Amino acid sequence: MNLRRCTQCILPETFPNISFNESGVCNFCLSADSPADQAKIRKNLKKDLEQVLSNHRGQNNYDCIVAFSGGKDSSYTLYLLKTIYNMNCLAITIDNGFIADQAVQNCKTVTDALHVDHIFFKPSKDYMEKMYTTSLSEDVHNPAALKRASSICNSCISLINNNMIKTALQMKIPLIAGGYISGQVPKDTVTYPLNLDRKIKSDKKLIENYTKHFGIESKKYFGIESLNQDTKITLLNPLLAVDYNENEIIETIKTIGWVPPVNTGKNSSNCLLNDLGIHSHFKKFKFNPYVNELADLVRQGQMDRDEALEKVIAIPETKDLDEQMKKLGINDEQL
Amino acid sequence: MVQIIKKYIEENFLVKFDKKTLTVNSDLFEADVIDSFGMVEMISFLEKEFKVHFNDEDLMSPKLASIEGIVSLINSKNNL
Repeated sequence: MNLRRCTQCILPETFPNISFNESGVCNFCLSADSPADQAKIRKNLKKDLEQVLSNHRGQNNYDCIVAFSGGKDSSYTLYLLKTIYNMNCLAITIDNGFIADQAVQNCKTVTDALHVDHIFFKPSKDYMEKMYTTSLSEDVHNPAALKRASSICNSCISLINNNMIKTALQMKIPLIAGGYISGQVPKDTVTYPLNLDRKIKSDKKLIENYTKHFGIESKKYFGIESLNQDTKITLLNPLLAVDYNENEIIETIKTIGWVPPVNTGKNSSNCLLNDLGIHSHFKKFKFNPYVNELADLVRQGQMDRDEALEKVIAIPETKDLDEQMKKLGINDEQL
Repeated sequence: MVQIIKKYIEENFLVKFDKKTLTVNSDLFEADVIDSFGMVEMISFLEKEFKVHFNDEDLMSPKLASIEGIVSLINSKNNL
């Protein structure tokens, strides 16, 4: 499918609410800060991050939870917090049943090399498979969330984030860090105080929605209302404060033993299901769910346009997704 | 101010305000229009558009949940 794309970033004509000027530049590029201004903003955000880290360093058994998938970005986030900022981290991996063997090995290698405690949590296979099949075949998420990620990724991220918050409350850990990059989360969320009252309020609707789609077990995985809420939690996205360069990040984590998996597609470094999410998303919305974050990296001068384009232009085809669909018991018509 | 905020929400969160299901009084979290990340994006927009700064206390304010509350918060910051 040949799509018209912004001549500066890579957003296609199918992206929600996009428009182009006479030179073919999209409205998102036209309203964005310049790369130089964005670098200045990142510098200030980095100061905020360092202040928050400094305020919490050594105050608890664990200073910070790191949502750790074993992929490149969360591995680098853990590396950064542990080796550069000397934080006492607890890495938590949610095993969704589709983590590549190499990514599982990377989880072990990286946490061993960094001397970090590590929890593997595997929600029930039945629930995860129901969550994925339903996310692929029904309208589960609001349209705004689907600009950022595929439906299955949104479901998974939601479960992961909720588990991190639950664990932080249970273990009284004040910081939760993720390996999110710009475009996946807003640029201003390098440090972000979590409003628990507001979360509980929005959780009500979310749990109702997930219970309807994924079943009653959703109540077990989502929601924090019953937990002690004494801990004030701050969410951190440290990669928003650094000059992100994918190749440099990979080279850095290779020094602690991280090895790139070969079977996770062009846009993931840990999940075997990712390409199915891209395929399904493109089929429904006619844009690659990674296009927003990659366009943002291009806009910030952190990735070449051609490199970004190469990552989004080839949409995984049905014939390459047989194994994943078979495992979930679905076919292409159900997507 | 109400119209500007409504337009921003409609364009960015891909919803439509009407007189019944989604209004300026609706709780945008309860209505599943905005999540915590959406809130950050909106705050960034409001700060630029209305030349105000929201501090940590403001970010925790329940007023930020509806358009009516947001307008009231911005007006109070501008002493209107």
